[in-house]
Amino acid sequence: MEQEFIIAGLGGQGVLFLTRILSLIAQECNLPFIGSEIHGMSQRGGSVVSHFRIGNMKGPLVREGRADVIFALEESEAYRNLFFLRGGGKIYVDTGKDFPLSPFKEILLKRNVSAVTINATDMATEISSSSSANLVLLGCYIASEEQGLTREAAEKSISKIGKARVVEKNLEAFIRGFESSQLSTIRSGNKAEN
Amino acid sequence: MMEQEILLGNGAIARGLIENGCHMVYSYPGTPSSEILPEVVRYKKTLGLNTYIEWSTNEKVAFDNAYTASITGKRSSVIMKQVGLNVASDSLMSSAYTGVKGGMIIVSCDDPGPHSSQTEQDSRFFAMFSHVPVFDPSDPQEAKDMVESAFLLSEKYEIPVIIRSTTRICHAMQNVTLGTIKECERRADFRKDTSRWAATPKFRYKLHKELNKKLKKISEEVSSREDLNYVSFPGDTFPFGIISSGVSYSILKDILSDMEIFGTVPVLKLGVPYPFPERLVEDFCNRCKRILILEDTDLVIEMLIKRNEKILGRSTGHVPSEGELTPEVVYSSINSACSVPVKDEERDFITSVKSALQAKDLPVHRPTLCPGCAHRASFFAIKKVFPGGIFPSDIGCYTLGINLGSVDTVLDMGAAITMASGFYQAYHQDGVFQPVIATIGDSTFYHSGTSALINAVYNKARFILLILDNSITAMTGMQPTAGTGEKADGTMGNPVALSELVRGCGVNWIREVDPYDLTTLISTLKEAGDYIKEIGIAVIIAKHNCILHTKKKQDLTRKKVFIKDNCTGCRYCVKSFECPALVYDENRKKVDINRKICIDCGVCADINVCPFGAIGT
Repeated sequence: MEQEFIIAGLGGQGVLFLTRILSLIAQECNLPFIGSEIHGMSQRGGSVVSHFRIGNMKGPLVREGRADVIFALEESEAYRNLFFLRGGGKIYVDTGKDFPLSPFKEILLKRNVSAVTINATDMATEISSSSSANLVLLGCYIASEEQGLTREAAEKSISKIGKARVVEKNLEAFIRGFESSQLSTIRSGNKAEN
Repeated sequence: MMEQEILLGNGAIARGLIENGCHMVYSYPGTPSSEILPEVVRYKKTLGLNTYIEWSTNEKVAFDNAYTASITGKRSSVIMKQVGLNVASDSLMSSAYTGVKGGMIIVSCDDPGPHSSQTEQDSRFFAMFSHVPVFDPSDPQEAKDMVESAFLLSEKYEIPVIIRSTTRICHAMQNVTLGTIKECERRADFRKDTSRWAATPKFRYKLHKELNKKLKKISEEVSSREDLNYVSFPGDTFPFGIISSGVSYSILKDILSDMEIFGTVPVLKLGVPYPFPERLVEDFCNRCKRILILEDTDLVIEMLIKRNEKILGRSTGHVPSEGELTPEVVYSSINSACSVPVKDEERDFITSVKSALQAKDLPVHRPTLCPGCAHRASFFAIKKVFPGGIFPSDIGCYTLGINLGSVDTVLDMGAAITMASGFYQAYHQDGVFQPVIATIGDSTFYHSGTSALINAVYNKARFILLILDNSITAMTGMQPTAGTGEKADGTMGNPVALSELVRGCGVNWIREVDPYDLTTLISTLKEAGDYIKEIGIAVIIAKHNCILHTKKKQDLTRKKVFIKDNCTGCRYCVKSFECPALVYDENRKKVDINRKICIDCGVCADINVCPFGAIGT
């Protein structure tokens, strides 16, 4: 299995945490991987992007136009990283707004890209805190995942980080995302029309 | 199956040190190197090892301590970011001459981009400058594996060795195959030899000669080491070949694989670019007509190749001279060197998204001080009291004081103080009194503030210095400082009080203020302003714990603020206080509080932040 991810958001939103969880899932599924994080100044509220690649790649960075999946924890960071998507790729965005707007809608349609929007922050806030919005997006993705990454592996991985109370809330956020994948809005791309 | 662990490149390097019996480890934090030492601490704790681990006050101090451990026969390591090696360079140059006993590894982490640094400098130049070998790993696994080779080389030739990592290795995450841990076995045994450890110039000449001999031998050795270099050469000769090292090689390998030409284009990957493996490179160059060089960050290999008429790289414009070698850059460099097919569809997509992005006015997310950060209050007060001041500042979170207009210069560690005295003297010579208000963090002050302050006192400079004391090294990820006395492994050392240190530097006017008390801070600044007009240097220790650090440990005193109806929507608070939790609501034409991020510090409720008193508690 080869699958490449971009995880985008703002410092403090949990970009690094989601990357860490993805690595644990890949490990759980016995898949080779390499990823790249950014630390330092940008973590103080600035744009943060991490790369994660499952497969026998050696370099840590995803090439432009080659990401299978983007997780965007913030809407403008979703737009900012769209050019990473490959044809037929999928972007998961934490937003309650219409996404993507013109002219991106048309560009993505041409590339057969699906956009999944979900109000992850609101859902996560209902459970515990906005900081587990990343796991709502992950749940949503795993639900539609037909390849190697399983729900069991994801839940096992989430259980590995943090104290019992935090793990419980994180799992709840993940399951909310998983179960609501049917409710999330899928726009543009042929997949959505099927 | 061999045991594996998910590690960052930094964790992999830490693991490498422990696996190779290195139990004297020194560092000063700096992105992208900061996680290496904490990872050594983690192994020490989980495995119960007798490892000495130190956050030193600066890189030169760290270097000298590690060097000393090495000349007692122990294996040692000193870890820093690339600009830290500038600070430690005096020690580096000299240690190359004297050499070492126990293996000594200098880990220097470069930051092409740059992502979190003031320069994109290439540490391999320091290896050349000082004449010490440098290892250039291409991924976390190799970074760990190279630690073993580096120690062996260091001990065989009694020479310190640099491992040069880069951001994309330090912060790359990989499932790393582990080796076995080697506990601390060696006992300190310093053998006196003044002709070496205290060499006078006469002996230095001799040591220089020995150093040059060592380098020649090492060059020979690394030329023939198959475990350090990788050569793929199909056939006898080829019109085009690539020489690479570091993470660029990893990116290159993926791109060639993607183009289905990995294994059909000759590639030479160098593990030790200095001392230059001349024989190996010479042979490769003889068999190619044109050679593209891909290396981070500067032109080291490119410069060391003698057959430069064949070379394509930075000197010929085929590779950019600034910034990271991302997959896109590597691809276009290969493309410019030998035309390769590009997928039109993919290129069109990327171009159209990028041009649409340019047209779309996306909100810019610049880094900013956290909501509730006490530095914000200090910067606000400085600007308020001294609107015409000059504001030299320094390296740390508080560099973000630029957002509040209270940071004018950032040069290097400690330069807030040296530049404050510099500004004072430049204006004073003209008979002009120019208020200068410098800001420096506590960790940066311990790093290189004292010599600057002593100099300023000695030479009668006059300015205000605010030491923004949040009792932690925050920007690099919460490393403890000498101020609290907490050591790298969480045990207690001896705290060194800032106020006593400042007094010891000869400063007589010292006040300590909590910046959350904005009114007192403002009156203290005014008092300091009077003092510097006539007498000397005024130091204010603006003390409040980092909120990111405190949040984990104790509850903050909560003061819920709200916006009153008399908000005029003038946005003075948004612009001059610049707290991300204060947002202007376009519809209501009033300021609002983003409760999701507000930490209820209550500082913005001070009358100085809203001229109409519309922020209340």
